[in-house]
Amino acid sequence: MPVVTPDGFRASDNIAYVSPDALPAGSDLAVDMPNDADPRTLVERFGDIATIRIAFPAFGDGRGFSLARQLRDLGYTGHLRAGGNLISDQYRHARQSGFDDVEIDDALAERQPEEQWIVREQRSYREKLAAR
Amino acid sequence: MPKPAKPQIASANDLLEGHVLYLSGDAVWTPDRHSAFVSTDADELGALADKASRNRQVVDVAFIDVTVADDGDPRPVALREVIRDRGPTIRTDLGRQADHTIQDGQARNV
Amino acid sequence: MYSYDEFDRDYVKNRVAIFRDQVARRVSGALTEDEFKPLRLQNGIYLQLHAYMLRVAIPYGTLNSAQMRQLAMIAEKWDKGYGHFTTRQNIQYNWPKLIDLPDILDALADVEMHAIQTSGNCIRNVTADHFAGAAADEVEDPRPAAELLRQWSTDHPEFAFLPRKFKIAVTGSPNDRAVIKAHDIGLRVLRNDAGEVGYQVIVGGGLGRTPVVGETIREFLPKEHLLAYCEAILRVYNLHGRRDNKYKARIKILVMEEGLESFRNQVEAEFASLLEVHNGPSLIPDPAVVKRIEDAFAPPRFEDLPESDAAYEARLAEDEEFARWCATNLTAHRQPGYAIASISLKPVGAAPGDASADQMRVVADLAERYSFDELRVSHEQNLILPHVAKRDLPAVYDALSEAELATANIGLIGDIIACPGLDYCALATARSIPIAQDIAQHFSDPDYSRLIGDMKIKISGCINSCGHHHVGHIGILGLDRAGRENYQITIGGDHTESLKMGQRLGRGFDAEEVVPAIEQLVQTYFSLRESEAETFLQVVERAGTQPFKDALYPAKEPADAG
Repeated sequence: MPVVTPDGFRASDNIAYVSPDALPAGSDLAVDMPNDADPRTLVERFGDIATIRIAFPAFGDGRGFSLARQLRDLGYTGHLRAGGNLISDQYRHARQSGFDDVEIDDALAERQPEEQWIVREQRSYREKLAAR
Repeated sequence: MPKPAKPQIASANDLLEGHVLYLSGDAVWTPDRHSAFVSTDADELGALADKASRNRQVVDVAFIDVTVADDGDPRPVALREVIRDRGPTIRTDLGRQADHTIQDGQARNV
Repeated sequence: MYSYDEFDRDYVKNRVAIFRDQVARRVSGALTEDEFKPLRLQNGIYLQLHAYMLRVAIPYGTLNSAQMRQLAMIAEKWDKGYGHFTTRQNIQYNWPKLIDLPDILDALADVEMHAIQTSGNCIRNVTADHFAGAAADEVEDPRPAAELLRQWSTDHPEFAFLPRKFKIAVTGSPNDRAVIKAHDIGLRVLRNDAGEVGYQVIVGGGLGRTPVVGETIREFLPKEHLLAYCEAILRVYNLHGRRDNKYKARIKILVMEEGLESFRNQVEAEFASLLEVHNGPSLIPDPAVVKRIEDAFAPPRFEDLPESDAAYEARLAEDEEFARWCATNLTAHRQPGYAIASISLKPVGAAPGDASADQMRVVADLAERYSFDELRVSHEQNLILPHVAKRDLPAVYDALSEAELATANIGLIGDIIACPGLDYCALATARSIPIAQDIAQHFSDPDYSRLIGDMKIKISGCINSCGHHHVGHIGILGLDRAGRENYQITIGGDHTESLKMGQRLGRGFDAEEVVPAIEQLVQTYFSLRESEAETFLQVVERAGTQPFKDALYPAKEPADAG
């Protein structure tokens, strides 16, 4: 399964994800987060989490974008990954919502190859409007 | 007891141009409704539509109820499909009703 | 008027390039139809009965003459020579080809226009009072807020894939002409006791299948918090709005199911955390950006004129037709010597809201010459010259007459809102336009329609209510009843600040029964009104719906039987 990064496709790292409902002790955790989870429950453990993967069950279901923003707003600075059914046209939304990369399946990678994921350089209105 | 199947034809819109198309018996999407293939078997229409769609990209494939006139002409039953076939009722200068290149024989069904 | 800065220009041009690429990828198969559909919708492109349909955004209903001329050019070059102005202050073309659409969008970008987010499950084009910046009753021009919202909502990364569409309307006046209580978010500019200007925020209103009057979630929101508060509302909606049922996915359902108090608490908590956000840009917009927007809506350089004008008065005295037009189509302007002139797109026999390319150019010329190059589109599907000196009114009227645009029926029974209905729309269950035409024809005598007075008839061709039938003084809803068009009639709806949904009178009518039924309602009104000053709506409020039910459904026929 390829992962789409700002530098292009790369092979997925085989991370063992855990559920956010039962975080084990320890650090360097990777959390697999459904898109109806409450990110506030993780705040105490942010320091122990290296990666959070937010699920996109369908590309038309945009909850994951808000969850990503909430996690960033709550102070999460670890790796943030979108997994599931995003299409290349949503890559800019993912990046601007705070995701580091997007994990896609092989079939989609074949249908929408790397060059279709390259975002045309574009500032968002969000940046334009932000106070200096 | 299963209901008697109604005669139907397959319709769609052309992907690039948007106009209405019908499915002919030789698996071609055509603007000509008079040559549309009539069937009471949705599976048969579906298979034919899949075959035709390999040659012409269409969207919104739908099977519509028709009555078959004495001369074999399939005529849409629902007002929606009649309007879709002809054009807006308030602008008879627009739509398929105004396009004589595809309306040869259309007068039969007005 | 707002004009694009470099950012806007680049942004819109780039979006056209992205769309051109998306069309190519749809044709190549890289995008499936299911994937392409939301992308084309977010560029305003529907597939309707006969063809694709393009809905072009006219942000808050304001445009200039160059833009109107470009709309006319597009109508002729790529469409069938006309356009349809909608109840959301936009314009629709009914016949474009998908392959031409990237070029059409480029032509729009050339005049600082676009079709972004006029459809799809995202924040739609923001609407506003069509008399903004001209009305005598205004606290402040609502368009700077609307433009700020346009920029904030355009391709907002969080909110491009919401549970359902999301509509925002803004008014700057206590007299609501933007139907703000029937929007997902309605904003009213107001001044608080301390004299500061801010917004009353209304949430969860809407028409459609489940009509709901919006409720106030915030009595007073300071101006600088507009975007943060809207972001908080949208975030709560995006995360918690229902996605299991398309008919329950609007924010009004979330607010109803959660209850206003609980919904408000969630929004306020989100708002508070947005204001003290840990990282990322906060949502207090850059004052320089805000100032540039506000400056763009500074009043035009009005002349110092006397309240009236001798030539105008003389024409009023000698020309009955002109006087009639002035009586119905003019609205008080805040500047002495000026008037707001409404151009009716409802001549008898026309499709409400349709304008030919030639008519668009006539209106553009008039705006350029007589109205500081400004035009408006109203949600009532008319056009407006917002700033006309009274001295110029005779010339404006004559030019409009020449173009068959001087129908004197604004606010009268012939000024009907109607959606495109089954003549064009893939969702419609019945035709709307022919019903509007029949009613306008029946009541075409100007003296008769003036005798009837203030009357809003609103017609929708399906339950989605694009024709605002719920809030018509008389509302007509076209349905499909066992393969036949059937029209339900409601009365007592109110589209203003005292927004109310109309009540259904009884069983529906066949198409040819609608005009006699409307005539019956009018006669009942005449028999009940205590003076000519008492409007139809006031009579319904005073006397209730029963006398009207009795008139439409004589005793042997039980009312409300289906």
